[in-house]
Amino acid sequence: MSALLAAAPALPLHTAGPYVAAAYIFFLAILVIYVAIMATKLQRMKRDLNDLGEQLEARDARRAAADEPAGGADVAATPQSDADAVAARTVVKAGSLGPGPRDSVGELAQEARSPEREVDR
Amino acid sequence: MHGKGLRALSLVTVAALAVTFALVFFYAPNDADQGFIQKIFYLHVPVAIITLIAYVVAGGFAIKHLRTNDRQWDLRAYTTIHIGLIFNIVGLATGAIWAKASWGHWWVWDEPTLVSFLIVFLLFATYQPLRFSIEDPERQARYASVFAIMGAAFVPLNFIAVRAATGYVHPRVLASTGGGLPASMGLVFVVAIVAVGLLFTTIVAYEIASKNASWQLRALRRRLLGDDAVAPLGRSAAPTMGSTLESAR
Repeated sequence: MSALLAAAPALPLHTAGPYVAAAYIFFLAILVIYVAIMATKLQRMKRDLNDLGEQLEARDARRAAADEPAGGADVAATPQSDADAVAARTVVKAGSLGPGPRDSVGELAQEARSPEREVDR
Repeated sequence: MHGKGLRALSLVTVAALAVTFALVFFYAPNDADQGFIQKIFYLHVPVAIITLIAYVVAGGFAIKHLRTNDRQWDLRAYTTIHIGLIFNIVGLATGAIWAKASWGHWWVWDEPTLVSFLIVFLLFATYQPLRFSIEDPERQARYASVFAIMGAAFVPLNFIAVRAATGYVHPRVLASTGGGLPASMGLVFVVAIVAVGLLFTTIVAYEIASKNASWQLRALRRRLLGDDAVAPLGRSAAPTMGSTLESAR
């Protein structure tokens, strides 16, 4: 750092400096704007994932409450529908975009990509 | 999950950019003719070169899309052109700043290199409106690919045409005669091209990962909560993953 500061005054900032600075600052400004846009997108995605997780938790809770009087243990042991199985696992990691060991969003995404799944516009 | 290796790529890119800037300002000698203002060269020229390469690469992606009908290739072509346009703007802006400092004018209309670069920009600037004008995603992707291939073919032709032009004042860097750089400047220039290329690749990789992630999120929402939980998509210039997410890998 000290070497950098020692070298810095040698830069002829009084003549062509403003133009060179303008060019490089413009470039860096574009980069910063891009990073800000990406950060906003990421925030929105995390919010959507959290929202999805909360909705699934609520749905699971509702289903559990509805299933209980009908003999909960047996019902819980029976195979659930595909969507239920995915739902049960989504709540585990819904708040994270990072790679998780199991039940991660990535794994769920794999399931969402399964050939039988149609995703229309 | 998409975006594998993004962290490593980002770190390498940041390091490459830091090294480039350090070399530009503390290693590369000042140009004997232009002096300190020539430092813009290490930003302007690599950005311009990477922009043109990006357009050609996008054409390759578009060919792949037409051959395989895999929407991921359309997404790659779209993203490459999209980021290429931003780099194109950076190239035009830094070039204008350099022109003002060096020639005293922001823009010189009788300079073939400048005008041709602007024409390339304007050509690819019509890519997004073209996509937006077509509602059907299949047709949109197909037409956009044809456009990208034509645009990519135009880039080298344009480059050759400019080379053949006479009476230019724009300096030649990559030339067999009359151009060339001293070894120290050449080294910094090559490092700068690599750094800008890495930056471009990283940004494109982020964009693709982001778009794929949003599509997977949307697919998950639909799968888990039903069709009513997903708002219908409006018209968009950005590619959609079509009727399935099978291709999202």
